[in-house]
Amino acid sequence: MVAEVRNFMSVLKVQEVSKFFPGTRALNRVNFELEHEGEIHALVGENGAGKTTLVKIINGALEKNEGTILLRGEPYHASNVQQAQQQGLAFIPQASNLIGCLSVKENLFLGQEHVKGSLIKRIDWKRSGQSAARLLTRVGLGHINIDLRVEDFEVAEQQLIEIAKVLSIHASIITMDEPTSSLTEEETRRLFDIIRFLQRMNVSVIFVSHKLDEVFQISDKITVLRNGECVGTRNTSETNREEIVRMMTGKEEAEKYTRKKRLHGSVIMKVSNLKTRGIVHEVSFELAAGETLAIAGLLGSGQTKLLETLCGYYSPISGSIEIGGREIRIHSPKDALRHGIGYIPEDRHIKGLMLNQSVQDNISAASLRDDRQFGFLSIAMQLERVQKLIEQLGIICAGTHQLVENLSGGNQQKVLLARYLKVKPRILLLNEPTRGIDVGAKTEIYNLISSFKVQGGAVLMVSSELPEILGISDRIMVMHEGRVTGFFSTGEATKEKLMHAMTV
Amino acid sequence: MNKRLLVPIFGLVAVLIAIAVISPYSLMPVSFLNATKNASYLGVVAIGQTIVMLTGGIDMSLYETIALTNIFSANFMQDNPFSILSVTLLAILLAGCIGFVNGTMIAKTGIPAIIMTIAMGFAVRGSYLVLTKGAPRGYIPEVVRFIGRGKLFDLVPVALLVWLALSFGVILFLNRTAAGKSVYFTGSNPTAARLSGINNDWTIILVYVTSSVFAAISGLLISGYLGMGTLDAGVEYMLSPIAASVIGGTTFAGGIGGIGGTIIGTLIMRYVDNLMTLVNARHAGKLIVQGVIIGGIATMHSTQKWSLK
Repeated sequence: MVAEVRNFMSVLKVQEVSKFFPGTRALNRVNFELEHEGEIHALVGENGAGKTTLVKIINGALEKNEGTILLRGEPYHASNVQQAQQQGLAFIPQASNLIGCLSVKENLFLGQEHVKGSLIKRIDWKRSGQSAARLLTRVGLGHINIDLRVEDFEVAEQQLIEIAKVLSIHASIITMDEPTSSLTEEETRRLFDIIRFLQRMNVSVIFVSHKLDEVFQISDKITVLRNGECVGTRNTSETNREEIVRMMTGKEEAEKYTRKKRLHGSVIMKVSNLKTRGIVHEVSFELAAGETLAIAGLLGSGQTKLLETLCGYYSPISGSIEIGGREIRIHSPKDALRHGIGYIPEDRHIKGLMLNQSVQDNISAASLRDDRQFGFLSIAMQLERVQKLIEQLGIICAGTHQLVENLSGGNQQKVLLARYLKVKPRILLLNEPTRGIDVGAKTEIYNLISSFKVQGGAVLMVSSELPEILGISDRIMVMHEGRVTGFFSTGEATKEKLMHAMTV
Repeated sequence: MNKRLLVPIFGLVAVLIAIAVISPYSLMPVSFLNATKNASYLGVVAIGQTIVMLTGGIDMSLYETIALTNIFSANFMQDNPFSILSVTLLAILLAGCIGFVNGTMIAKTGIPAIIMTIAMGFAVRGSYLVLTKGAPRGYIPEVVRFIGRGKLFDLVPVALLVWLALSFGVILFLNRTAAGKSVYFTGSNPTAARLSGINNDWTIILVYVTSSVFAAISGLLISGYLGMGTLDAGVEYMLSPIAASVIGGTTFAGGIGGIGGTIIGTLIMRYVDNLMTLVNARHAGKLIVQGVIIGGIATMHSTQKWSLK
């Protein structure tokens, strides 16, 4: 009897839901429950654990194969996102839903425009403008110009616009898939304020995230998925990080960061007074063989521009780059690769991988010339080298012919790393090397960086996660608005000192 | 084997079965080789179109390059080896220049390929209209005619050999050279390609030069087949090379497809054409059937793509 009452009370109850894709079982009899209104429920798990599949089923973007879902005690079914929205469920996906070339106003009411007129229905722009201003004020964007195009705004602002759009449909359950992956700490705080505001309005939030710190900050409850199965649900106040990690990986989070001792090699790269069009000003530093130099800084402080100038993607305006004591000119990534500089970009889908090409082609793309015999590619030789790297990096794929788009995020990142290890570089430039990949894969990437360093390579790394920087680097260079504002050896650095230098 | 080839192979088998049922005689070696030879002219120009499409581009000027080559050769070729050789080389060089301008403009200014190549097509057409004053002159020497429509040992069509040799060369190029692989990489993700040390601009220029040169070679074969210069030599090749590429599994998005598929696509186009002639279909009927086949196979390609995901 009691159980039945509770059943009736719960806002959303997912019971024994399974989902099959050709060849794999993405979800296996998963249970998930939002017990009361205004609950903030975090959904965590490694990549491929089934988080996104589950929230897509809840929001009508995918159909389940088995199981039932109850919405306030009533059987719930939505075969597309619109149907879910009509029942009060809104989904903010990882990739933006907004249309960049339309204005904020147009985006907010896309598909649900205010209309006026009876014979010829027209869009009532005046009323749209007023509602838009009201909605945006609630997410703290009351000051922006709603006639500007969405693509002209920062990613964080776009995310807030997306939330305003969700508010406009009066959703009672909002799902956010990795909402903080491209936000700075400050922007994340703002997002959390909004989530708490939603909570006070009795809106329930399903919060999907990789970042456990944030999960512990914001959530009431945590549900852990592993390999498509529900491992368990905990009240956030009654659990701790170690337990959740154990549930996610099935093993202890023992050696998360592996920093091998720094080799004191000779200076391999010397950058003096480098200046680029746009943001980077008078940047100078030295990088030695066998060390990891990490660059810390707020988003948009010029870190990416610096790395992309060193790898030849952009040209510097002034300043010099020396490799092994000789000044070199880098006009293109081709030149940089010839000097042993490999760059791994922060966005593997947009800048890094050729998604519709095979694992083998992606790994060998930067070193095609090395695989030639008598002027022609030797596929056998290439295959042998690629297989060696696949083994060495522990890339899990169905074969070297598998398309990279079908790999999990962690394996895609390893493919990218393998491409630049195959060129046998002296210097690796890594931009957010562990973004959007799961805990297990992160540890493996850290191990790979360490072993590259131990073999005499030099690593220059950009990361927006301070624990990561403190965990694996030997030295830290802090940037603020395109200038270097400090160097720290990792021993003396603390989060507070770094934050101070990052914001000056 | 490449799964994308399954659809065109299935289509080709279906067409061959249809021929076997309706007109078994046309599968006899001599008439079958003849029908296959007729695919060579389209086959050669379709190779070029496929290479361009692999980079995510398109070349709409090829049919005018074919026409230009035809008129140019008829106008200047004399019946002596030196003239034949030099005019042939000049025609190919001229086409190479057309492709170089196309590729350079597309790579360096970012002008959409379809606009650039249509504009180039107009310019080329205007040029040969000026050259001929609207009335092509001259004739095609016997040697070129032999290459265009003759048979080695009275059996194997020379044009077919040319097509096969070029196909083999390009397959080797695309799969076994760094530059060939770059064609796929540039088409798949130019930023990633650039960060892998590939010079996208150079790759794009290379593919447009190649497509134009292949159009010129096709134009020479067609000239041999026609035996004279005509203003309409290219008309039939405006869209059919694109159709052959698409049937063979090459996409407009870039990075996917290849010459193997295009060869099969070309054969399907030509065998269907042949079949329609055998049943005395009119031109309009041929067009309708072609449209249905192109649409049908393209649909199968897209649905197959989704189901493989």
